[in-house]
Amino acid sequence: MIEGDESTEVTEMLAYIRFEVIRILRNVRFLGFTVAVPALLYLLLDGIYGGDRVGEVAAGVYLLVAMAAYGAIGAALSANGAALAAERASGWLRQLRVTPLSDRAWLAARLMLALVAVAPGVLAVSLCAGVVGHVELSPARWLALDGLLLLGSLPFGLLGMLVGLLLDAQSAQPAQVLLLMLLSFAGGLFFPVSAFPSGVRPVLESLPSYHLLSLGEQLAIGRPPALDQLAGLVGSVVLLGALALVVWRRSDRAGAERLRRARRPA
Amino acid sequence: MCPGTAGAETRGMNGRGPGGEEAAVFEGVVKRYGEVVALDHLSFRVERGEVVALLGPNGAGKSTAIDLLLGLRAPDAGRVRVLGTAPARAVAEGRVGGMLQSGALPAGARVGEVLDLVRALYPEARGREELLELADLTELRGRRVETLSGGQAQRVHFALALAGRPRLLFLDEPTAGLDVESRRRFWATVRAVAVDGVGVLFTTHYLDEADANADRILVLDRGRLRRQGTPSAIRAAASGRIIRCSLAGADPDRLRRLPGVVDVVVHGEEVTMRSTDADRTVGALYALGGEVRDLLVSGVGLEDAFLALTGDGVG
Repeated sequence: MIEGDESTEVTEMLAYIRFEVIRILRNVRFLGFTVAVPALLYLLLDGIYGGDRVGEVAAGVYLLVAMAAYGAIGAALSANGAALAAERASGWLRQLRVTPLSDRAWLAARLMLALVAVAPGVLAVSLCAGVVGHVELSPARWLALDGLLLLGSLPFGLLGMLVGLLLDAQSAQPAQVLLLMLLSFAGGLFFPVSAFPSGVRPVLESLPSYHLLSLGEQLAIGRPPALDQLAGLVGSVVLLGALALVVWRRSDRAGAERLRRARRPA
Repeated sequence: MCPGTAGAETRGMNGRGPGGEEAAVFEGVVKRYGEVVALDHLSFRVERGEVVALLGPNGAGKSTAIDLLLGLRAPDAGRVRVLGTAPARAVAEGRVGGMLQSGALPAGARVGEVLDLVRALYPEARGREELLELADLTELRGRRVETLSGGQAQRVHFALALAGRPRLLFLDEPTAGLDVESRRRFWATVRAVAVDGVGVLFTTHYLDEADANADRILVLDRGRLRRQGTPSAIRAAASGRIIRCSLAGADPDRLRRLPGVVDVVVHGEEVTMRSTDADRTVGALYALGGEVRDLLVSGVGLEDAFLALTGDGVG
C-alpha cells in the first residue's frame, strides 16, 4: 500500500493538472493577457526598434526574451493568484481537501500548473520572433531559452500562490496586476535596466524578473549563464517556497473568526 | 494528510475497525480557538447504515465538528475516529465522501469533467454512468458548471460526495436550493446508499427534513451535545403543549406567570406559549379578561422542541 502511494499521487496530480489546464485554455481573458498581449507587443515594438541594439544584444532578441518573460510572469502569477483566491472563497478548495488528494500533491500540482500555463505565451512570442521578427537561433538555443522561461517562472508561480492564499478574491486580482507591472517595469522588461538611474540599479538587478531576462539574453546569444543570477533565481524560489509553505500551514486560523462571528449576538 | 504513515492500528481498506461497524466516533472532544470553546467534551457515534442529523443554532460548533470529522482540524483533547482510524487517514484512503456547504464549482469546467476529476482521485470510484444516474445528472453532463441553477449545482456536489463509494457520507445542508421533487429523489438516494452499509451524517435547517429522514438526531448547542435520540424522542423531550392565540395588548410578563407556562413568545397580538399543563393555562388565560381569539392547542413539533432545547425560543 505504501509503495502504491507514490504512483497514485502522480496519477492524481496528473488528473488535477489536466482538469485545470482545460479550464485555463477555455479562459479567453487569460489567453488574451498572457498570449495575445505579449505577442502583439513584440510585433509592435519589433517593428519600431527591430534594427537597434540593446546593450550587447540585438533589439529583436531583447524584445523576444522580454516579452516572453512578461507573458510568462503574467501567466505564472494568474495561474495561482486570483483564481486560487476565488477557489478558496468559493469552498471548492475545501471540497478538494475532502478527497484523497493530499496537500503535498495539491501544492505540487498547482506549481506545475503554473509552469504549464506559461507555455502558450512563451511559444507564441517565440513563434512571432522566429517567423516575423527574424530572430535566428539554433534549435538548441531555442530549446534552452524556452526551457529557461518555463522553469524560470517558478518564483512567479510561488508568488501567485502567496497572493492567492493571503488575499481575498477581490484584492487578489489587482494585487496580481500590480505585481506583474512592478516586476516587469523594474526588472527591465519594458526599458532595459540601464535606462534607470544608476542608484536604483542594484535593487532592480536583484529582482527575479531581471534575472530571468538577463539569463534569457545570455542563453539566446550563446553565452554561459551568469552563476550569480542563476543563484538569485534559485534563491527566490527557495524563499518564496518557504513563505508559501508557512502561509499554507497557517491557513487553518479562519475557524476562530467564523465562530466568534456566529456567537456574537449571544 | 499523509497516507504514508501507517499506524499500528487497523489498516483494513473496508473500514471495519476494532469498534465493529462504527462510521464515526467522537470521544470527549474539546476544540478551542483561543479563549472560545468551540466543542466542549463532545461525544457521539454514528454507525454504518445509519442516517443521523446534526442540528444546532449558528455557533453551536457544527462547522468545527465537521472540520474535525473530515480531518481538516485536530482536536485539542479527546479523540475523533472515522471508520476505525484517524479522520485524515480515512479521507486520504478515499473512504469518506463529503458534500460541503456553499461550494461553488470551478467555472469553465463541464459537469462531466468535474466528476471525472474527482473520480480519478478515489481508489474505488464509481463508474461515470452510475454516478450520473445516481445524482440525476445524465442530461447535464455536458453543461458548463457556471450555467447550472442552484439546485443543479447542488446535485453535482452530491455526485462528488458519492464518487468514491464512501463508507461515511457527510452532507452539509444538502438540500438547500432543491425543489420538492429533487429533494424527494435526493433522500431516496441517500436511503439507498445507507442501506448498503454507509454511515450518513447530515446537517440541515429544515427540521421537518431531519424528522422525516434521520434515524437519529443529535442536538448541538454551544459545543455540547444537548440531546440525542430518534426524532420522536427529541419531540417528546420538550414536553408539554404549544398554545397559540391572538390577544390584544398581550403582556409577555403576565403570560409567563400563568400556571404551567414555560416559554412565551409575543409578536404583536400573536401569542405562542409552551405549557406543561395546557388545561390550567388556557383556563387562566381566559380569566385574564382580554379578548382571546383563534386559540389553538397542539403537540410540540420538532421545531418547537428544538428551539426549547437550545433556548432560542424564549421571548
